[in-house]
Amino acid sequence: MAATTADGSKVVGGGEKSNVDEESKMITLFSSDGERFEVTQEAAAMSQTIHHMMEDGCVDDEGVHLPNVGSSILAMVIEYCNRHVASPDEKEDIRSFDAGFVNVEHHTLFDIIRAANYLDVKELMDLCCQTVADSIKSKSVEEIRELFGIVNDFTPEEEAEIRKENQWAFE
Amino acid sequence: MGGEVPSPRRLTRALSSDSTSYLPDEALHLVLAHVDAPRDREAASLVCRRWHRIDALTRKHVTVGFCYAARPSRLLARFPTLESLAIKGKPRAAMYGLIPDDWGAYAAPWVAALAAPLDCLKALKLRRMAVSDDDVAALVRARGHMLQELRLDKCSGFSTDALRLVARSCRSLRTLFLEECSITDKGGEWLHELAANNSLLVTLNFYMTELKVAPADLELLAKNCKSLLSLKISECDLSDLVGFFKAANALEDFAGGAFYEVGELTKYEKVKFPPRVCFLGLTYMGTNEMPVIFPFSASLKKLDLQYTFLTTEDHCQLISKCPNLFVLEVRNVIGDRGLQVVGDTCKKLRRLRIERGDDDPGLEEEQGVSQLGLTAVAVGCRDLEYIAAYVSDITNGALESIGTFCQNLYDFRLVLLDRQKQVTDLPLDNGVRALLRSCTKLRRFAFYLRPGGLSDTGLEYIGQYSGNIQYMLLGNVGESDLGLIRFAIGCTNLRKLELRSCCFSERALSLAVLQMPSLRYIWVQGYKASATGLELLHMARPFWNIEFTPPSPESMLRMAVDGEPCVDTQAQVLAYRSLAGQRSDCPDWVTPLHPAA
Repeated sequence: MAATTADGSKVVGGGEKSNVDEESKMITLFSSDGERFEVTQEAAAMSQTIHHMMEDGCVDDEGVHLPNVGSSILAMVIEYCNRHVASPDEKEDIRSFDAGFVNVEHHTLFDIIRAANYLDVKELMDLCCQTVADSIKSKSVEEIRELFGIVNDFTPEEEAEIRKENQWAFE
Repeated sequence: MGGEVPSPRRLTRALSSDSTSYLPDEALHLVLAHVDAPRDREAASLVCRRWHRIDALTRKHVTVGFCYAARPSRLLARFPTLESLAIKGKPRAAMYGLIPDDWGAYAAPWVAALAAPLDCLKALKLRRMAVSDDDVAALVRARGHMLQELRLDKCSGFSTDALRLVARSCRSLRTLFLEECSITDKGGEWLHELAANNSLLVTLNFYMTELKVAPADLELLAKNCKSLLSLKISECDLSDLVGFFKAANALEDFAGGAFYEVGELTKYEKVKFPPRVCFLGLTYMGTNEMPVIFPFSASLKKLDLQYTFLTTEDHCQLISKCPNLFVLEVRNVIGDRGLQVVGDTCKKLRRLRIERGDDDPGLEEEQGVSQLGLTAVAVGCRDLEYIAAYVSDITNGALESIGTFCQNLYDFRLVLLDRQKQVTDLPLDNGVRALLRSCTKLRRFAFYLRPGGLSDTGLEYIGQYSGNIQYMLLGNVGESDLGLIRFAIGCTNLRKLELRSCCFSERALSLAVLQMPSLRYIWVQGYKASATGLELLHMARPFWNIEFTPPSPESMLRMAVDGEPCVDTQAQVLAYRSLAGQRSDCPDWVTPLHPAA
């Protein structure tokens, strides 16, 4: 028997609370631009930041506000967490999911890294940082600078000194 | 925690702005922590100041390839949080007794400058350096509680007093490596103290030292250090190790125990090796003692027979029972027959070393190894990555076969012994060309022949097909200075070169050096040295140190008579890239030519 409560959200059965559904233990997350995301507590707990908040009882009925994470990035992080708690043992599937997940442009990858850093999702941080590391491999200095749009701020003398050290002194 | 997320408009940034500036430092740390290859690390350290700083902070290990190439203070300034450091000292020739003890490579300045300030240092490795008891004491004082690995490889100058200090103070030690060190033995208490004070030891190696130890202390060590995986000792009768083997349950790697009473099998019947042993090297083992290995020969991954009394036939019999070997080290008594067995049996073999045996032919059954044995091994063991062989005979065809079948070769060293008067298939020009062209993964290469072994054309081939080889040792190669110059022109990636017993002049050596853009170290002994070495100044340039050891008095006399240099065996040239200026600790028999003193 369905009924509508005062705030307009639907409930099932009688007398159950609306926003925190006891059966699947959901939690609400709000991105910086105000969008609302429902996730299981289990998936949310992959973020150590949110996990600590839940443990410390800082999560109220409304949910968790994340002023540092935009909606598009938060959606991706949630997708990652959902996938990883769903079937943590299916290594092959997870590997191909991860490979597809990081197949994005650098600035998106960096935004995910920032979000994962803020939310403290270790596995996601490792995955993305490894991906960035892989993109550096076997590249020359100039290629790395170009890839990330980095400006060389060494003086010619400093750069020459480091090159000599690298080639002659320290491996 | 991170900073602000950029607003939607800033998300579409122009390619010219630095996207990684939006990465917090912790993330860049994590990215660089996943970068291991030395070349990649070098590139990362040059990208910009921020990357340089974070590369320095995240680099776990640094090797100083030659101790006189840089100052310790520079290492400290650049890598203040270094955890693991390796430093190399004397020229490799020191291993063959060609470098007197007072040559240099002192550990003292490095320990003095770094032991205390490197707060995170946990692992130190010194190779071919002069290390005193005081040096070890300073190291232990500063780092004792944190030290997990101490490796002194072919070092000299210290005593067991230093080892006692290490044993008492370094309770976190997992690895103590002393192989081939010259250590003054003042008693075996160091081992007792190590056994009593340490419970974490995983690797203990004092192989090829002359230290005397008590088997009871080894037993105590095994009882207290449950994680002991590798033990390599100086000589100690195997029958005294029964107790140790019983206690060392986790042991996988053992070398050094000797069969003192060859022929007395009953004495050694009680010896039972721990169940997981798969790396083994037993000294003085003879035909009668060999059966102790048979019960577990199929699980052996590494076998060292260099110090055994086995005949060719013994080798055939034993190796046929070892199909799972990855590493095999033997003397050339193994003969071509034994190598055929290796080729047939050891399909997983990655490393093969064939050392020279006693030159007294009476002790060796066969005439050493030749192209027949090497070809058999090449055909049978396709996974070989390392081959080092002293051969009595060799052909171009055998070299070509090695090239064809051993595509994974990373390190190849061949020495042609003087035993056989006639070696029919010289020069080896075509064979070496074929091998170098095929083995594209080769990084280290040694080729030591006899006059006539390689013509100038062959020497040119070596340069032309040197590819990515970084280290070479060449002996008795080429015919004239022209060969050397042509060789040098081809060596774009060669970093370190050792030349012995060659006919080249000083001028040619200098010009050759100037042709090799990646060369940072050259050592020469046995060449047409002048009395003063002044012709070497043709290669004088900034950051290039030149050190000269004059020829013998006999050669000087001959020069005075003939009017020109002859090939002298005593004269040495060492030249190397250095950011530290000329070294200040040369012995009086070494003359620094450049920079001028």
